[in-house]
Amino acid sequence: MEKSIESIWKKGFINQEALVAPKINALYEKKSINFVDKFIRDFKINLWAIGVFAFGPLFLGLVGNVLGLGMILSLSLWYLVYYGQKKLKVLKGLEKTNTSYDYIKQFDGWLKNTINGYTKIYRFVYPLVLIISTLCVWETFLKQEIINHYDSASLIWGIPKMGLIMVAIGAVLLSVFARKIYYFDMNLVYGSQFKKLREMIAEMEELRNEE
Amino acid sequence: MSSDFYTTYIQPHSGIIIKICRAYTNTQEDFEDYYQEVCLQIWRSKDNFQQKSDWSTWVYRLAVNVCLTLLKKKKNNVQNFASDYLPPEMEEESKAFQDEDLSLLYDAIRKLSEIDRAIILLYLEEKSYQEIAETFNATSNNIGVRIKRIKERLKKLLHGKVN
Repeated sequence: MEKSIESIWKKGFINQEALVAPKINALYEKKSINFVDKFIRDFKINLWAIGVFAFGPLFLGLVGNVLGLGMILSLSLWYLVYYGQKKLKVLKGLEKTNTSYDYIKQFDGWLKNTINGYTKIYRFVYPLVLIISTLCVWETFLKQEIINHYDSASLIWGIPKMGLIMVAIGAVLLSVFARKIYYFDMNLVYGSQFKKLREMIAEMEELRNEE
Repeated sequence: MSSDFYTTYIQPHSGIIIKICRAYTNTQEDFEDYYQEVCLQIWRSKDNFQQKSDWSTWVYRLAVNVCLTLLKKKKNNVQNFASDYLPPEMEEESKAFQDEDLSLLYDAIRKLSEIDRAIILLYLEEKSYQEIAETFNATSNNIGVRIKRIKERLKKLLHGKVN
C-alpha cells in the first residue's frame, strides 16, 4: 500500500531514537582548529609572497648596477621569511589535545609573541628599505646630475646635506612608528581574522563563566 | 551556555532543530556541527527575542537561517553539495535513521531547494498555511500552491512510492 509523505514523517519520528540530540560539548573544538589552520594557510601564502617579492630588489639592483644595495634589501626581506618560518614551526607544534579554549589561548599567545618579534625586526627593516631605496635611486638616476648642480660644500659623499637629513628623519620616524605601521599592515591582511579571534575568545570565556 | 539554558530553552525544541539540521546536512558529522551551531546561535541571540512570536517559531526561524548560512558557506568550498546528485559515500552516510522510509524521504527533501526544504518541514510539522506564510512573508494561497508542487516533486523523487 502506498504511503503519504505525512505518514512516513509521523511514523518515522515515533521512534524517539531518530530525535536524539548530539551532545553539546567541545563546541569550539573544530572551530578553533579550523581557525588556526586557516591562519597557517594565509600566513604561509604571505611568507611565500614576501619570499618571491624579495627577488625584486635583487633584480632591480642588477639592472641598475647597484647589486650590493639590492642584495641587502633582498636579504632583509628573506630574513623576514626565515623568521616567519621559524615561528610557523612553533605554531604547528601547539598542543591540540588541550581544550579548545587552551588551544586558542595558546595561539593568541603565539600571535602576540610573533607580532612583537616582527615589530622589533621592522624597526630596522622599514628604515633600511627607505635608506636603500633612496640610495638606489640616487646612485642610478641622480648621482651625476647632483654632482654637476651642487657645489661640493653642500654635499656629503656626493649627496645633498638636506636630502640626507630628510632621509635620516624619515628613517627615524619609520623606526619609531614601526609598530603602528606594522599593525596597520597586519590589519589589512588579517584584520577580519583578528576580529574573529577576539570574538571567539570573548565568547568562549563567557561560556566558561556561565558553566 | 549554561546547562540550565539548554535544558529550559533549547531541549524542548530539540526535536524540530534536529529535523531541520537533518534536512540540510548529509553526514552525521555535519549534522552535529549544524546542531551545535544552531544551539550556540540561539544562546547568542537570546537577548534579541522580542516576544513578537512564540519562542518555538523564533527558534525554528533561527535554526533555518543558521542552516542556510552554513550551507552557503559550505557551498563556497564544496561543489554539488545540494544538487540532485549525491556522491555514493555521502548517500550512504545520510542514512542516519533506522526507519528506511524516513531515510528515503529525507534524501528526497535534501534534493529540494533550500527554501522548499524549510517550507515542507514546517508543513510536515503541521503548521498552518497562515503560520508558514507569515514565516516566509508570503500569502497562504501561494504557500498552498508551493506545498502542492513540493509534494509532487517529492513524489517524483521517491519514484511514486508515496501518494
